[in-house]
Amino acid sequence: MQSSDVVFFWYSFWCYLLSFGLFTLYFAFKKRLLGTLGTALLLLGFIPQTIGIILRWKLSGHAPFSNMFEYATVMSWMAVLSFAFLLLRFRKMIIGVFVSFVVLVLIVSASLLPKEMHQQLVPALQSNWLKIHVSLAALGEGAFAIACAVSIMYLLKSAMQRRSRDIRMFPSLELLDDINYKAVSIGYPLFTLGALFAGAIWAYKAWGTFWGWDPKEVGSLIIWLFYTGYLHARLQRNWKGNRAAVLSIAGFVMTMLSFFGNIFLGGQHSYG
Amino acid sequence: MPKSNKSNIQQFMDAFTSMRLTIIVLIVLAAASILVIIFQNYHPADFYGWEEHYRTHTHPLKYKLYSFFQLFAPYHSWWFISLLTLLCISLLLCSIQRFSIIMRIIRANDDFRQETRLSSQENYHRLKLPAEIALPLTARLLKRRFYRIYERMEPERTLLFAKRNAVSRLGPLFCHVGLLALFLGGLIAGIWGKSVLLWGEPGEFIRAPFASHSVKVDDFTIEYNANGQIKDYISVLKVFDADSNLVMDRSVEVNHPLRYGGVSYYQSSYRVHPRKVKSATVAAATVGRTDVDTITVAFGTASPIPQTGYSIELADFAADFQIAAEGVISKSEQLSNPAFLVQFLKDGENAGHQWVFARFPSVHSSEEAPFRISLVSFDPLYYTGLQAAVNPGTPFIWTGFAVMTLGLILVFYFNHRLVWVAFTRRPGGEDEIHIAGSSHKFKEQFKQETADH
Repeated sequence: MQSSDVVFFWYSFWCYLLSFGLFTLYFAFKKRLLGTLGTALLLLGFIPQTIGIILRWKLSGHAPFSNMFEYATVMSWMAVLSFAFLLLRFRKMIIGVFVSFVVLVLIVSASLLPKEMHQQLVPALQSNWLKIHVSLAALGEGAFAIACAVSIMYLLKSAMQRRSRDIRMFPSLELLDDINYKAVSIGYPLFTLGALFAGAIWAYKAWGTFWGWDPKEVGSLIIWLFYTGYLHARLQRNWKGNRAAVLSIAGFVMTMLSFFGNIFLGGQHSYG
Repeated sequence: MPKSNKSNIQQFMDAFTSMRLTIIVLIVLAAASILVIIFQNYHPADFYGWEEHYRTHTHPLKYKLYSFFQLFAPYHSWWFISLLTLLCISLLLCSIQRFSIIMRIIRANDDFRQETRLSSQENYHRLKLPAEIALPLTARLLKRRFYRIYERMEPERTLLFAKRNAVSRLGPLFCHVGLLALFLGGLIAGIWGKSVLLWGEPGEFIRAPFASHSVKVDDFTIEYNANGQIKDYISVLKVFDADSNLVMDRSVEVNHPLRYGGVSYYQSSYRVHPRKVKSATVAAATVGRTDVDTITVAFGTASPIPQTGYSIELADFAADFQIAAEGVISKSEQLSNPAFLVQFLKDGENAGHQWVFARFPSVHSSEEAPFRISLVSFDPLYYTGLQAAVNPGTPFIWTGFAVMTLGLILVFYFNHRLVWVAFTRRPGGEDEIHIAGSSHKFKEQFKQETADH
């Protein structure tokens, strides 16, 4: 039986879907009104989604981070929240075109996953570390999603500029590159502390070993190694622009692969 | 010779501290890990007899290849440890090499720059203002933003050098040292760490081979919620030291281990006792009577059936009942077909018996029994599975977490910024101010900020 929070999930789903449609039209026809409506819908969808998450928390009696549906929902929630911050900071509505795309990918993924609520968490999940580990990892991955979105914009703009044309709606290449780096800089420490450190400490508390080479652990390690490489290439080798954008997109693709890897690989992290 | 010797060392250092090597090792590690995940997905090595299975079911050449690369235990293999060692050496040398450079940057207090050098910098601004107004104003602005300011007077100009968060330059070093500590901790755990799964039934003493103390399992229970889902596993333990003194008395749950004498005990697993239960509740109906007595009987003890003069005793149990050549056995440790042998006693004398089946209430194995017994419920007896572990790498790992977290905070939440100002005095009050700034990170944002002021 579906719990009542799922109704709110669907409200946000339709808001995000419509928002993406409006943003696409905005991008195509460059009518400001479409962009404003897209932004409004994206932010409007955030309200039922927040209510849904809180309601699910109340109904199930535990933080809603215990299965893939819940995790994908929280990740998309985080991406919309980051968009709100970016909007306040840079006032560039156009970023919404790509953020809404990433949000749509996440929320469509969530919509396809089983939404049953587990009132009883398996004993291993009954720990405060669940909240720390999963929320920080989702926040980190949400920031990587933003980095991916602006990187797509960067590649499009720079490709057009090479053909002596421009996408004027987009922020400058420098700014896009800077947001890409900033988003990774926000995501990386959160991911390191949340996904890896908090996860390892929790594993130590629950099973007596910090690291067990579980598929998801290895997946997270690969993502971490990848973004570590990104930061070193950027800070030491001055890899910027196109190269940094490609790395950022590849990093997020890996993040998504690791997320869906649960379905085929199982292991300690496959909780429905 | 000494000269070429030195250059050899230099070459070695350069090779190991090059960014290229680090990036290649990181990529190889990531790629190898992906391949290992795929391999393990098709060749799981977590079932009983897997070694024999793969030896006989794999093509000999393939098996040789797998064995050579130790693919069944890849994370302890020679190639994986070599890659990690390479990474460690590179990290260590890189940290040593950069330490003095970093310290020089942090300590710098005389990096004054004249206007000619500033004008070529990225964030350069020129203003016309009298020096006596501009100088204190600039100093105040910088101080308010927590800059540390150094000043030098020259005949024609005053130079300011200001820096903020220089300590953030230590961040990467902390990250590398923290990571090294983590690797070291992992290595120590791998070599000297010990772990064993101990099984204990309530009342039993267990002892890890590497512990001087012993642990008594007082009780083990599985808690269920109202819907019958498992809520928790709880082992009630008593720890006795080498002289049999009780030194600790507490319970262990999932996520709540017990630590004593360097050994940690984790609630890890459980098993059903195949031939014992804690108790059973049965309904006893006298033949020819309509009323039923419900009695709870502990295993191995007798309980009277009220007003009949009879008692019953749970004499035997099989979790997965089967009759074999040697008599009744439990085919498995699963509660697949639980059956109880109920013994009837009258005045302490044997008065018949009956096998009662939980799944098949209508099956009665004995016709001579004075009562018809059916099962109401029963409380299985479980063994607790406690993982006992000693991990001498733990202090290194905690240190690694702490140092690396500090490093990450320094790298990502503090930004080393430098500002240079040259106040040049021109005759006739046409003083000029030249300002340039540099930010280690977030250059775009810094550019905006400097432009705003």
